[in-house]
Amino acid sequence: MTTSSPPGTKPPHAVSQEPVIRIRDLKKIYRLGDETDVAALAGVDLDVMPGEHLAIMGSSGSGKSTLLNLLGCLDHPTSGSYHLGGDDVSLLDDDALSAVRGIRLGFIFQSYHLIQQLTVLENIQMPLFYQSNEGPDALARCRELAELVGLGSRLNHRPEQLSGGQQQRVAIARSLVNNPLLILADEPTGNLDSATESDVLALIDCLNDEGRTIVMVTHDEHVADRADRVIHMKDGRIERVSHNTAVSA
Amino acid sequence: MLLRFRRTFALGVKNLFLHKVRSLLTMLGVVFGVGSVIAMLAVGEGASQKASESIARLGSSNVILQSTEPPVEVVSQQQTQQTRIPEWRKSYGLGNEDMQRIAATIPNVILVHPEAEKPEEVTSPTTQVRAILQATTGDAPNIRNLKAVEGRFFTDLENDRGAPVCVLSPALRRKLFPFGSAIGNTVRIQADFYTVLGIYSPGFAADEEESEDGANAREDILYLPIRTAKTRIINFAYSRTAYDTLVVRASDSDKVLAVGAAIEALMESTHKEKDYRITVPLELLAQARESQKLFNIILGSIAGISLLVGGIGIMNIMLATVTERTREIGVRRALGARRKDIIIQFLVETIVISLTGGILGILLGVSIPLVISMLTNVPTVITPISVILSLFISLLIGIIFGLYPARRAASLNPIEALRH
Repeated sequence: MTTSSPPGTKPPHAVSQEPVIRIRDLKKIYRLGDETDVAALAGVDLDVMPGEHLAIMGSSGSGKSTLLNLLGCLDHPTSGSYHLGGDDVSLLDDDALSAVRGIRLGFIFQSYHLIQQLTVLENIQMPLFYQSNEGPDALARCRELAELVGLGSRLNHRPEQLSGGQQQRVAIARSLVNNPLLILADEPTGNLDSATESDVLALIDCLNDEGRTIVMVTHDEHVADRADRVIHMKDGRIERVSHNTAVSA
Repeated sequence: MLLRFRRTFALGVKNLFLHKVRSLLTMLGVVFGVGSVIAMLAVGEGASQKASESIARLGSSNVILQSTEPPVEVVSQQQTQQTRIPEWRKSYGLGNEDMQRIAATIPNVILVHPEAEKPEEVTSPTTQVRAILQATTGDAPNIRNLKAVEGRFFTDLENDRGAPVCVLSPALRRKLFPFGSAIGNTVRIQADFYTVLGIYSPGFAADEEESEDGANAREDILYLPIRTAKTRIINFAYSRTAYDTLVVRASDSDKVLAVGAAIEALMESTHKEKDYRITVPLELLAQARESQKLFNIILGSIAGISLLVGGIGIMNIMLATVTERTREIGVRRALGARRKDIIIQFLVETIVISLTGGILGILLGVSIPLVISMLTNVPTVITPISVILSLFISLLIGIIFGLYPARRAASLNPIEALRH
């Protein structure tokens, strides 16, 4: 079924000097009509080391969303290899990819993507639900995380009863609940006003300071400035890489 | 795993409660489908049991011959003047020779039991009642399933002797001897007195056999030995039919159809006119079962169609729900749900809808026959199997009509679904 060993639940900090992400010549080609191929991703090489905070920038159509989808194991590459935490995940089947997402990845979306009919606590618990990890320990961890993002008093509220910033903080707690190897954030502040934006970004910085690996897509320079490294994409390729020496600390 | 299933189930119920009206309307098809299945089967089963009972009372190993008036032949004017026997002199129907022929020539016949009946006034010391005199033999309790209430039936010996004895039905006994004991007392019929030996119940309920000329006239029955009747009572002695009924008992209910056919052949060859009627209760029972089967098939298909419509309704709504919740499906997939998990989630929701509909339908289906039985005289029988079957069918509907929407939900591309 798979060519690599099944993904385990290694704590992210235990990974030594091996990169969290190693992609080589990764391509994603969409076929439109009979003879027209569109390369959304035309060969990308990228290594992301543990604890790194990487920002991906680019105009729309530059391939940054495609790259994020591939990094998030939501899609199969047309060619090339993708090693996540040392395991090749580019050839895994659908069920195995679901397991990788549930165990190794944490997602933060632009529009939060909370499930409306569930409470804050249940939303945070969601990734554990699909790993059949619902013991009292898990519940305690969910409460702890809600506490961490400052929503300890709103465990039984529904998303519609929360502000946008609060909802995004629930989503951040949810992305942490499975103790992921990598957190993927897709324009996490795109829907927020500037006050809540800095709030949420501070929270993300805080996670990075704790040693978590973060890959974030954004088109906002200010947001990208907080990353250790920024890759600029254009026409499906990495056009330019810039390192931020003056990381906001 | 179990916990996860319970959570999925709880989530399904929660989602249904979130859209109460929609869920209720979705259920309605199954509710009425299941309700009508159970109600129809209950009415059908009631009718069938009633039919079986009344046929079984005739005896499953019996062949019953009855005298009937011969069909009126269309004769020409000339013939009428020459050969026509005056109506009052012509006898017809079953006679002694039929009885003897059947007993002697047809194999597997245990006994031939004659019966004749006439209405007549019966007088007790206190009152006079018009009763039905049933002239028969000592085998009557056995052949006709009479139930002993008190005393004894007359014996074959008393019949052979032509003894002046009789047995009363409970209804007649109440009328003739409202006070005190009947047994040992005498009643008068025409010029003779008859000693009452016992009280035997004919074994059918009061409302079942009402005659046209008055309520429960069939209940007032006086049984007396047939020889006694033939020798002492004028109506029987001068009757144009020797016997009204001959009950032929076969040795086994397996043989009863062959015996019936043999009797038919025999009667055809010996009677010029068709002045008899042959009934095989077992055959009637088989026919009743056959028509009941057909009835059930028709009911079943009607109910099946309504359940199908109900199922399609569920599928329709679930497809709409899948579209409505595309983004939720995308989120769940991104957070680690496998296709299987999404299928289970949606399947559980349809099963909860159909099963709840099934349970409500059972309540409806059980109460309708109760109301019918209460308001009318139609008997209804709710069989446990129909309830279990309905529950099973509604579960099946949930699975069958839930599978397509669930698979569709699971087949959504997570990226597309998230963008929705």
